[in-house]
Order: sequence, then structure tokens, then C-alpha cells
Amino acid sequence: MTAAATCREMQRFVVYLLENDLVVAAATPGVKDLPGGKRLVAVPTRGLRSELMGEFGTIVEYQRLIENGENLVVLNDGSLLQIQYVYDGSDVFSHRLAYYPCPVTIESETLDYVDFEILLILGFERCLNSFLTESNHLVFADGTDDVPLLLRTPLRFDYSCRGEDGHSPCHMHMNSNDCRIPVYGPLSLGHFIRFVFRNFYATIWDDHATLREWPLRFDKRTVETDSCIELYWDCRDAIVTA
Amino acid sequence: MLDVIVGTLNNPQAAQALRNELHDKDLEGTLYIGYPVLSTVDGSISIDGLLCSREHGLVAFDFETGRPPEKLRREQDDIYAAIFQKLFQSRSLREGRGALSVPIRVVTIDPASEGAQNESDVIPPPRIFDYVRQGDPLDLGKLRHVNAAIERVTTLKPPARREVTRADSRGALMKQIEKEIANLDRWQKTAAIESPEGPQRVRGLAGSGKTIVLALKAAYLHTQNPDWQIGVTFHTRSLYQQFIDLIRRFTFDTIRDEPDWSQLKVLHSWGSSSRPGVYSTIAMEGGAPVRDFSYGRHKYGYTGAFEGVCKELLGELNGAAVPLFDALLIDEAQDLPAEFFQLSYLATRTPHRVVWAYDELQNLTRQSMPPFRELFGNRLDGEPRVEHLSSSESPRQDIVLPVCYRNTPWALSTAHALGFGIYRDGGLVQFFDEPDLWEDIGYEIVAGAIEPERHVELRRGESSYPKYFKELLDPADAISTHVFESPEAEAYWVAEQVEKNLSDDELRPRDIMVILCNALTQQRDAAPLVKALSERDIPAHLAGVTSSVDALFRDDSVALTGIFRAKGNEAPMVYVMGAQYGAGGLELIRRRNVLFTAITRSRAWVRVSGVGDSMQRIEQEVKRVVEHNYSLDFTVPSQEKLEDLRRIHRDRPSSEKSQISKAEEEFRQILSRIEAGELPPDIISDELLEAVRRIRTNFDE
Repeated sequence: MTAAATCREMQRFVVYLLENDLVVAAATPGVKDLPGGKRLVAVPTRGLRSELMGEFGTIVEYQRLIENGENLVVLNDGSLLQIQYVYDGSDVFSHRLAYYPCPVTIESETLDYVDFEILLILGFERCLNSFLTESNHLVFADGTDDVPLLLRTPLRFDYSCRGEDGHSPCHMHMNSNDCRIPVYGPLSLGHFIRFVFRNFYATIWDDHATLREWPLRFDKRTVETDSCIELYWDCRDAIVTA
Repeated sequence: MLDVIVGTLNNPQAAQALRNELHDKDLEGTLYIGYPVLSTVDGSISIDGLLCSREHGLVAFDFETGRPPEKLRREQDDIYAAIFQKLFQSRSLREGRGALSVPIRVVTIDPASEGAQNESDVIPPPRIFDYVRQGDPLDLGKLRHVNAAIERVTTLKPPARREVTRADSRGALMKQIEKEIANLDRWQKTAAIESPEGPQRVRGLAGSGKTIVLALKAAYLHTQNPDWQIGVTFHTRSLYQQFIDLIRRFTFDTIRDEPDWSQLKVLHSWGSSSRPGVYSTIAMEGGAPVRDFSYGRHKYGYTGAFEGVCKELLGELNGAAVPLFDALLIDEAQDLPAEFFQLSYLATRTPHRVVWAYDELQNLTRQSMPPFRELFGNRLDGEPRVEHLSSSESPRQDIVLPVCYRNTPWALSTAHALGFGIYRDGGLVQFFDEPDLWEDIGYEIVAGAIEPERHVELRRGESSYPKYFKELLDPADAISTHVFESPEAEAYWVAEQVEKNLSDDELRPRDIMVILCNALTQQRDAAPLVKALSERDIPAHLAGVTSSVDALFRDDSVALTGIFRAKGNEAPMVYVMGAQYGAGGLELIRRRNVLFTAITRSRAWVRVSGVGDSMQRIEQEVKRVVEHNYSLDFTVPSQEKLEDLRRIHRDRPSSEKSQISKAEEEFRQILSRIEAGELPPDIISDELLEAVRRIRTNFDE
């Protein structure tokens, strides 16, 4: 697989989501040459990439990701999918595959002609306000009883062929940057797409065979043997019988 | 003619004397009173009067009297030095390394003086013109440079560098256009500097520079009155950063210092407890509950939320003043409810310096802005709080900015023609309540009169657009229409054009904006274009969730957007796709407004495209505009006809729309079943068929 082929696959994914009204916003990636002959497949952004932004799993980080525009798509519920790959020739050098659930509930009937961002921003402000003033009890001072704030962690699958000290080259972050659950190896786009829609969007999963059948590619296994006695994310291209 | 711009009046008598002495002397240029404010090492200096005239050059007037001669001389020297420093920044006015090519004279006006003294120039008012005419003339070019230097408008950000290799490419043309906007025009100067003791209205077309003018005014008022509490407010959140940046740059330009943000506040109209706004601040200071958007939406519905909470607050305050501001400047006033203006009145100290700026024709409906007599409500005696706005006496209370800098005259005429349905087969869709508005927004009467049931022909006046449009652009290239058989064919063509724009035309991705007319289907409508662009390795993004107006555009990706995100943005090259959306159907006023707004996003070129017969109807209307040489030729509707139009083409509630859609679908199903042979053709009565035929014939006529 090459950077160009992955780029085309990501473009195809974006077009499919647009054609089927599954997103509020979307961006197609391009391929950018990096020093040392590597190639980045990612959406062009407005500013600093998210590595340099706020803490993982914070509402502020979510807002910055939106403002920075480095998301491939924003799904209809406000959740973000962030996908980028770096290739070294035909090998995946690194990737960042993130599912960032929206921290507030967006009611679909208000999306007609609506400035989506206003809902998000006002939703945040309202939630932040209430959270601060009613520390343990999410009841709003104005007496309305809807509770739009959602307590959900982003999930981010990171891979770096160089690995980091003591950590599996491929791992999943949840709750905090310090959490690194080992993953069997670099993931294909198909793995990520199926993972998100199968586990978090049951109706879409049922309705869209294209997503269910998105091609998978199995890359080398990078999880270390001694990690295998602990819980980790695995995936195999054949059923292994004992 | 001599433009007179009246800013802060430190000495009204001297200012009036100066005006009287110069007003009928056939001078060409500008007389500033209380402007500019210039920075020096010791602080800022407000120039009491400054004449820049073609006939007699530059003269600064000082109104302070009763000083000992040494102090007077020193202060005249300070004035000279401040003006010299300001002009020296302009390369075109320098001569060598330490001199200017324009002499500066400084004179003090003192009614008690005996006449000009050699040591320091002090003259009584009757000798003003004698003094002035001793100066040598300036050529037009130099006068222009002097004005530019004095009024130097720092833009939000310097135009990004363009890499162009050919002088005739679109990129090269944009480079020239971007360089042209340096001077304020006469109306913008007036609007920015003149500040009456009371309310002031600033109106203009989209693209006439209102936001810049308001930011300049805020900076000017702040530097002139540093102890004033000044508020700048607006509806669209994304303007927040734009105002902060503009005001900071303008203030720094004047006094070489940061504004005092504790005195000059940039506030969203609503606000919240985490970020104060005008409404929330008034509520808190007035001891009333602060209501947020969720509360407003639950109680008053989405569109009425802000109006509802403002009305509640007015009820709580019951007419009591909550004096927070010495001046409150309101942008995008057309998007704010009248109740907000009534709150603004209560929140400003006497004489209630509320300045409101709005777009004439943001959405082509006059109902969006009530008359000022109604806007601010009534006093206790029942009389309107604001009864009259003077537009003739300086400082003016009612200012129109008639020059549109953003749109070419051909695109704007076409946008108006489509928006109103001037050349539509079925007749007008909407019209102004006030006929005078046409001339206010820069149209000239070519024939007839703007009176009910009379024929009239209108055309953009030459003074309503900057000269560079005619010098640099071609009408047929400025706006064009394109009909396709399918959305895929349309998308393919647009992608091809975008590819050419980025290569041969030397435009950048951020110079291009694609607008998808139908907000409900914009994602689906974007898909074929995104695909076609991807096949050409051109990244694109469908804008959705951002909080900054700048965020629509990216350096390496072409922006696709629905109409709501497009509002407030502009681009040199605009593609309006799916324009058949505006051809007909329910809520035609809104649909036509979409076309109007989309076309007027363009700073130079616009391509209007769509699919099928409906798009052909749009194309036909545009062709008629061209045939009429971009003039609007029509019969002014009667009041009765106007009300009919509003009724027929109005926005409808969802329930009614569903009902109509359902009925249409059921009728369509009956027709399908007849065609499939499942039902006999005569199931539809002759009476009904005849009615349909009649309606269709009337429509075609």
C-alpha cells in the first residue's frame, strides 16, 4: 500500500459518507512530502496539528480540533474522525486514527438551517456553566431538565514503527495520554471504519453494507510477545483454531 | 468639492468659523475637524482642523488660545512634527531621507489675535482663507497620497503574497485589486469620524466596508475619549476576533499603543456567564436573571429565542436605565431584534450614542429592519425615543455607504435581478417597501420613475463601485451561467474549472469558494464535486463546524459550503452550484435570497450553475439582465401587489410545508399509476385538469 493509494481510499470514504448524508462536515486529504522521503496523508489544516494542542480527552481539545479543521469528517452527532498516515515507501511509518465523540447531545431537529457551531458552543458554555455552579448535580439554573453533557472518552489508535520506550508500537489511548493499550499492529483504514461504525453506530452499521464490507488489510504484527499475557487489542486475518 | 468630516468638537465655535470661512471657496479636497489623532513620544495629539486641498496643499489648524508665545510655538511645532511623522511613513511623499515633498503649514485660530505674526502663525477667523491660499497647489496624485497617509487603513491582515508569473492571470488581477483598497472613501470617512451627540445609523450594501468603519470609529472614539466606556457588539460570533484585530491595529496606528480593553469592550450581543455579552451584562447589572440560548429556545422557539429573552429583560427593567456605555456600536443590526435596540438605549448614557450598522439587502426583505422610530421604543409620554436622524448637518446621524467594494456592478445587478425576480417569467418575487432605497444603494434612474405601477429602468451608478472593476474586469467574465443535464456533469465541469483556476489562472485554493444552494441536501450535493476534485488531486473541504469566519478557508484545500456558512465570507472566484434551487417552489423569497447572497460573495468572478429546465429558467433571467446592459427594467408594483407577493412567496411553517409536500406526492403517485395503466385516465376530472392547464398558462404568460 502506498501513500497515494491510502489517500484515494480515504477520499472514497469521504465521498461515500457525503453521498449518504452521514456527515455534517468533511475534508479530503492530500499527500504531502516530508523530510527523509516520507509522505504524509492527511487533511490540510489551518494551524498547529493536534499533537501540540491541549490535553487529551478535554472539551477544550475537542473545540480546538474543530477549529483547527484537521478532521476527516464530522459525523451527524458532532463526533470527529481524525485519520492520518505517514508512509515510508510502501510501509506504514506511523498513523493516527482517532474517534472523538461529541461531548454534548445535538438534537437533530435543530439542524435544519442551523449553524451547527452555535449549538456546540452554546451547549458547551451552558454545560460548563452548570457544571461549575452545581458541582455534583447537572441541573440547570433555568429549570430545564435536559442533560446534554455526555461523559465519553475519545479513542485514538496511534502507531509508530519506531515505538516508544516500554510501549507497544501500536496502541490505543483512552481517558488519558498515559493510557496505551497495546494493539496487534498498524491498522488499515477498513479496520478503523468498521470498528467505529460497528461499535458506536448500530443503525448506520446495519443500513450500510459498504461500511460493513470495507476492505481490511493486515499489516505486520508488532505487538511484543510479553505483552500478550496482558489484555490487548488483537485482530487476525484467519480464524486460529487451537 | 470640499468634503467636511466632523469628528470630536473640542471648540465648536472655532470649528464652525473654520467651516464658514472655507465652505464656498471652490476648494477640492477634505477638511477634517477633530481628526486625525496622531501619536507622539509624549502621547497623542488630536488635530483640531486639517485641510488637504488640491489648490492650496496641507494646512493644520490649532484652536487653542491664550498661551504664551513660546508655548504656542512649541505646540505648533508638536503638531507639525506629528503630521510630518505620519506623512513620512508614506514612501511616495518623501523627498530624500529627511524631507517631505508636501509642505505642512500650522496656524492657530484666535478671534482675539491682531493678525499673522512672523514668529508664530496666529490669525483671526476672517483671515483664514487669505492664509490658506498662500499655499501652493498639489497635483491630484499627491493629494491622493496625502489623504491615503492621513486615513491609512490598516487592513485586518496584509494581503497574502501572491505568486504570479503572468500579468494577465486572474491571480495578477486580484493582486492589483487588493492593492487598490487603501483610502477610505468620502462616506466611509464620514461614518468613521463623525460622531453626533445621539444615535447614528450607518447603512450600506454588503461589501461597503461597514465593519471596518465601525472598528475605526471605535478606535477613534477611544483615543479621543479614553475615559469613555465603549461597547462594540454584533450578532455573528465569528466577528469577535475580527473586531479585536481591527481595533487593535487601528488604535496602534493612531497612538502606538494597545487599546485599554477595560474601557473598550468587544462583546457578543447575547453573551453568557463565561463570556459577557451586551444582553447578559445589562441583565446582571439590572439585577435580572440572565437567560441562555437553551432557555430561549425552549420558551420562544429557535428563531425567536433572543427576541424573547430581550423582551423579558425589558419587562424586568420596566424602562429603568442601566447606564453602562458612553457609546455602543452595533454591527449586523439587521440580525438583531428591536428589543435589543431598546435595551441598548437604556444601557447608554444620555445622549445615547448608539451607532448601528446594517446591510441594506442582506436578505432583500425590508421587514428585517424596523424604522428607527420603532426600533428604540417610546418614552413614557408615548413619543418615540428617536424621532429624527439628520443626514445633512455634520456630524451626520444617518449615513449611507453606497459604494460596494466587494461585488462587481454586473454581479450585483444580476444578484438584484434574480433576488427580486425582475426578469422572472412569473413576475416579481419581492420588492422594497421604500422606493428611495434603490438610489440609496447606488442605482440611478435611467428612465421612468420609482412610483407604484409605473415603469422604471435602473442601473448601477458609476460612483457606486470603485473604478478598478471596469478597468480590470470584463462583464461577461465577471458573471456567467451554465446549465447541465445532471449533477455529475455540473460537478465535473466545476472541478475542471477549479483545476484551471489553480494552474493557469494562478489563483490559490483560498481564493475559491463553492456554494451549494440547498442547505438541506448540501452534503449529498457536495459528494460528486468532492469526488471530481479528488480525481484531480485537489483537496476540498465541506465547511461545517467552526467558530471563526477565517476558518472557512484553508491554504491547501478548496472550500465548499452551504449558504449559511458562506454568509459573511467572500472570495475572488465563487461557484454557485445547484442554482435551480432558486427557480421556483415554496418559499420563493427565501430561495431567491439564497441566490442573492451566494452571488454577492464574489469579489471578482462568479459562476452560477445548475441542472435541468429549472436552471434554464434562471439562465434566461440572467440573459435578460445582460440584454438590458445590466440594468433593471420593470414596473413598480402597487402596495396591494406587494402584499400578494409576500403572502404567496413567504416562509411557511413546517407543518404547512409537510402538508403541501404530502399532497404533491400523492398527486404524483396518482399520475404514475395512470401512466402505468393501473388507473383509468379519466379518474382526474375535466374540471381539475382544466384548472391545472389554466394555472400553467397564466404562469407561462
